[in-house]
Order: sequence, then structure tokens, then C-alpha cells
Amino acid sequence: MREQLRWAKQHLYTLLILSPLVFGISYMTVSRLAEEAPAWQPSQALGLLMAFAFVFSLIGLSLTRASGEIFHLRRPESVLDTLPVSLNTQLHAALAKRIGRTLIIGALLLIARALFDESNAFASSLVLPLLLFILITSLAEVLAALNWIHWGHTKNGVAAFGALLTVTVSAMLAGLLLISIFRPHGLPVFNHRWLVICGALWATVLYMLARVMHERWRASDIEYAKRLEAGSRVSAFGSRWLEKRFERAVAVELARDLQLTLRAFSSAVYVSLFISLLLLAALATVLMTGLLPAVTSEPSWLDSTWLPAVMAAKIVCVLVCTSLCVLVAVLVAYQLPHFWLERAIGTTGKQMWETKLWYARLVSLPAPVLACLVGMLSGHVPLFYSLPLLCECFWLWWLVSTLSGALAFEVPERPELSLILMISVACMFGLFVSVFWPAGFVIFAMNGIRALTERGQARANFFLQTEGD
Amino acid sequence: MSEHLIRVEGVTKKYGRLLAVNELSLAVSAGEVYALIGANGAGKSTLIRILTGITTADDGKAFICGEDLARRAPQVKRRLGYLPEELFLYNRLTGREYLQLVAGLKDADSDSVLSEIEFFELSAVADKWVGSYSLGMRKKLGLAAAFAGAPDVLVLDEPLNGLDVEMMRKLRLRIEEERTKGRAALVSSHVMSFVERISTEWGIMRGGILVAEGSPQELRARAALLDAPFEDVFFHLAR
Repeated sequence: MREQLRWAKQHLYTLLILSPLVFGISYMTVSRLAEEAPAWQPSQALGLLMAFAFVFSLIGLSLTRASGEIFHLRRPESVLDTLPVSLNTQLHAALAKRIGRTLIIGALLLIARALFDESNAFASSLVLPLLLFILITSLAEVLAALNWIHWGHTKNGVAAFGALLTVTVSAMLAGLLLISIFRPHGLPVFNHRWLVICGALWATVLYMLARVMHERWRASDIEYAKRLEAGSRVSAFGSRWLEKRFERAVAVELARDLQLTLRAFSSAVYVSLFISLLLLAALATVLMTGLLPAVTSEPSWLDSTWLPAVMAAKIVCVLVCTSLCVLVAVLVAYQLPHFWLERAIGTTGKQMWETKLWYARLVSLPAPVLACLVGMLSGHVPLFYSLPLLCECFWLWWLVSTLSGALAFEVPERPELSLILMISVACMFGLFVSVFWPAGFVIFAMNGIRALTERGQARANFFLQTEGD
Repeated sequence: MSEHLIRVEGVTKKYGRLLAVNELSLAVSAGEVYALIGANGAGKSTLIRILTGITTADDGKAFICGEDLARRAPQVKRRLGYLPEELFLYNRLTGREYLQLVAGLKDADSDSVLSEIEFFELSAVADKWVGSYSLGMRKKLGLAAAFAGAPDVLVLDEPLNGLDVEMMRKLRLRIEEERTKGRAALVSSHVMSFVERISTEWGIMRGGILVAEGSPQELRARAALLDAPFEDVFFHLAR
């Protein structure tokens, strides 16, 4: 608890500014989507299937994390194995963590219910099914993780079959509880009260099973769990193909940065990706629901750049580019303790800066394609303007990613300031140029990019020479 | 006079009021292994960080292969193999990827990565995330990175932590082999038996200065402890 409080103290910016911002944008977009979405109601069978699939996915996706929590893989809690702490206490601690995480899902489900349900109310009758849903899902996750590790270790078919059966029953019950939360009167076959009673009994059975399995298997499975974590990894980014385009030092650093991003070096990668997808979903919603002013006359070729649909696609392109490019700041902050290697080997500031510049360009490369694609598929962008729109989006991508990447070493030790700086500069120039694309050339004409390049390289050099202490 | 591959002239480094290294000078020639020993906080790691260009000296100069490090010439640093005491490795890269990164930055032959993986017995774990490595494996990976690209100068800070006896022996033989090839090495370690066997020259540090320097025989003679374990010689001279 103390450790987590200290962590929270160090991440005030994330907790007080970034998270509310992300949640705010998400909430507004989803609520808008909910308002505009047609009143589609799935059939009872489809609803059941969706609910089972959802709970199964939750259990499946949590296998690695849950086994890490149970067996304390690469966690400070591993010290508990050397102390006189009972096995049940360790299981309870892991279960508490699981419940804590599923509680977040439960809260999100409540928000989703409030958004999509016409009655828009948090009825008190929801509390019990929701709590049982959280409890059964968490217990099933723990049980599945225990059995997953045990199966890998012993290949015991009977135990695996039993576990699969138990998890399936758990997913079905949790799915039914989920439906009873979303559609309280949508389960005519099942009595609500009996469902709750069955849920409570099943949760008790699951707990007893998890306890017995944990007691019996932990000692024999813990070593296997540790070995399992060290599975072989495939390199998605070899530096060979990058070396054809870049200097070798830049190529290997770029391959490393892309590899780290693909392996989610920070939760910021998920946040950035999520915001990008949200922005694209928002663009699709805006274009599909007729929110934009209608175009009365046939636009000329030159005027099409200011068509509402084209402008929306360009603005979203800038915002998605920015949200992906700012990963540079997080990456630099993440790499701070590792830069001893560059310092000892003699990498130059120019090479480091160039790496980050191209990193920003490569990670944000899908943005112009996707923004343009959404715009075109909506049917609101005139067909004859598809190619020019793609060119405009690529122009915006080049500008935004260059500006963001060039600022990588402005304040490397303060990622929050670096983020604000990058977002401000990229959005300011990007949005300005999205209104009138030739304006971007002014930045080049005034030697803006050259000055930025020189400054960026000088900052990287300064960082290399001064931050070693 | 033989060529000095490592040379330090009057280097001083302060951290606030703390004088970590005080006007220290030393030189290591080609074909020499210099053992830098001293208690914790004696200034060994600071001196090594200055020698590898990770930090800069407040005063004095450090030369590698005759080139002034203050100029931070990348070509000079590429002739240096460095193992830091505290290894910060990318947990989400595999051992092979990490070594390829180091070889790429040193502009070394990619095949050297394979030979180092084999030498340091990392083949079985080379394609696994570094985050799952044990302390010994991490140390081996750090050593493989230091030796990659056949550097002229080796600077190894506590190379033995976590290594098994077999690997310690292999490392000792490898350092001796590098020495016979005309390379220079500076090794900092607390394991006296190891440094006694590999080194040709000793430097004993205390409070940021070299309190004694010379060949093992010279130091034994100076301490008047000709047959005693070298640990006793060290305590006698470092006092």
C-alpha cells in the first residue's frame, strides 16, 4: 500500500491530468456513439453468446497476469515465499488483486449500462448480481491460471478437462449475471433470485477448489511458472532492412525502439493506441451521423480542401499523428537509465536525435492512411478528391511527426513537460496547416525545420555530455 | 616505452562536497591487465565512469588509445569494451537483440555476436527476454557486450558478481588471451584471488587517490608480506 501511494505521488500528472483527460474524451465519444447508434437490440441467444464470449475473453486474457500474481513472478512479493506466510494468505492476496482489477471492469459495465439503457438508473437490485459477477470472474481467473500452469507442468488431462468444465460453467453463470445486469427482464427462462443463489453457491465452490489446488500444486508448479515466463521471443524488427536506409547506429537503435514499442514498454503505448482508435471512431461517427454542415452545391476541385468531411479527416489525421508521436517523449524517459550504453560506446547526439525523429515518423505512419480511409469509406469525401486528401494527410503526417520527433531531447528528464510541448507544437502547426496546406511550406521556407534540426541535435549532444552523472 | 592504451592524468571529480577522485594518474600499456582495488566508496567506479566517457572529469584528462576522451571521439569509444557494475539492460529485448544493438552501435561485425553468445554460454537463452534472466545470465550478457567487436581496451567493473566457478575460469582465460593479443584491460573487483591471477599491475585506491601501485611482487615486497595471501597485502597497504 505504501509503495503504491509513493508511486501515485510520483505520477500525479498522469493521475490528475492525463487520466481524467483520456476518460473524459472516451466518455464523451462513447456517449455520443450511444446517442447516435440505432436502437439495436440483440436477440436473447446472441446476447447470451456475447456475454459468454466476453467473460471467456476476460479469463483468457488475464491468464499471464493472474499466474504472475499467484506465483509472484518478477514481483517484490516473491519475498513472501521465504517468510513464514501461509499459502492461504498468499492466495487471498492474489485473489484480492484479481477482484480489484475486475472491479474496474464492473464499474465500466455500470457506466456502459447507464449510457445505453433507456432507464439510465443504477438500480439497487443490480448490486448483488454485479458483486457476484466480479467474484465469479475473479475466482475463475485464479482457477484458470492455476490450472494453466499445472497443465503445462504435468500434462494431466483429467485435471485440465475438469478445469475447462469449471471455467465454462463459471463463464456461463457470469454471462447470465451480466445479462441480468444489462437486461433485468431479458431472462424469462431463469429466475433472477435463483440465479443469484446459484451464483453464490458456485462462487463458494470455486473458492474451495482454488484453495485446494493452490495448496496442493503451488510448491511443484512455481519453478515451472518461472520457466514458462521466459519463453522464446520472435524479433519483428530486424535492423538489416533498416540498415539499407539508415546509418548502422541509427538503424539498430530504431529497430530497438520499434521492438520495445511492439512489446509495450509502457502502458502509454496502450493509451496512445486507444486514443488514436477513439479519434478514428469519432471521425466515423461524425461523418456517418450527419453532424457536419451539409454541402449544397457541387464543390470545385480547389474548394474541396475545405469541405467539412475533408477538414474533419485532416484534423483527425493531425490528432492521431500527435497521439502516436508523443510516445517519443515516453520512450526517451523510459530509456534514461539505459543511455549509459550510448555514452560508453560513443553514439553521437546526431544519431540519437535522428533515431527518435524517424521513430516518430514510423509509429505515426498509419495515421494518414487510416484517417483518409475512414473519410473515403464514409462516402462524404468526393471520389475525385480521394488522392489529394491522401497527399494532404501525408503532408500533415510528415510535418507533425517531424516537429514531435525533433523535440525528443528538449526536456528528456521531464516526460510530462515534454508531452505538453510536443502536443502544443504539433497541434498548433498541424491544425494550422490542415486549414491551408501550402502554409506548411512557409515553415520550410523560413528555415524552420533546419533550425529545429540543429537545435534538436545540439540538445541531444548536450544531454549525452551532461546527464551522465 | 610501450604504448599506453589507457592513460589518466591528474583526474579530479567532485560530487558536491564529496571528492570522489582526487588528482589521480595511472597508465595501462598494451598487453597489461591493471587491477583496480579498494573498499566501497574508494572512487573506483567513478574513475571507471570517467575512463569510459560516461561522466566527465572536473579536472585532468583521460586518454584511450592515445586519444583525449574529452573530445568524445566516437571512434575512440568504439575501441573500448565496458562492463558497468550496475547493469541496466532492456528487459523487453532478447539477449540476441541486445547484443545486435551493441554490435551495431560499435559498428562491429554481426558474427562477433554469435561467437560471444557461444563463448558466454547464452545460446539457450539468447532468444528470451532479458527480463527473465538470472543475475548470472545478465552478467554474462554484459560481458558478451563488452567483448563484442574485439575492443582494444577492456574496462570491467565487478565482472564476477553472479558468475559460476566455471565461467569465472573461462573469463580469466579469456582476459589472459586478450592480454597476449596486445590488448589492455582495467578490472575492478573485490575477489582478490581472481585479480591476483589475471593482473600484471595493481592500483589500490582509498578516498579517491591511489595509495599504492605496482606489480604484485613489488607490492608484496613493499608490504613485507612475501608469502601472505594478497588480501593481507591489500589490507596492509590500504590502511
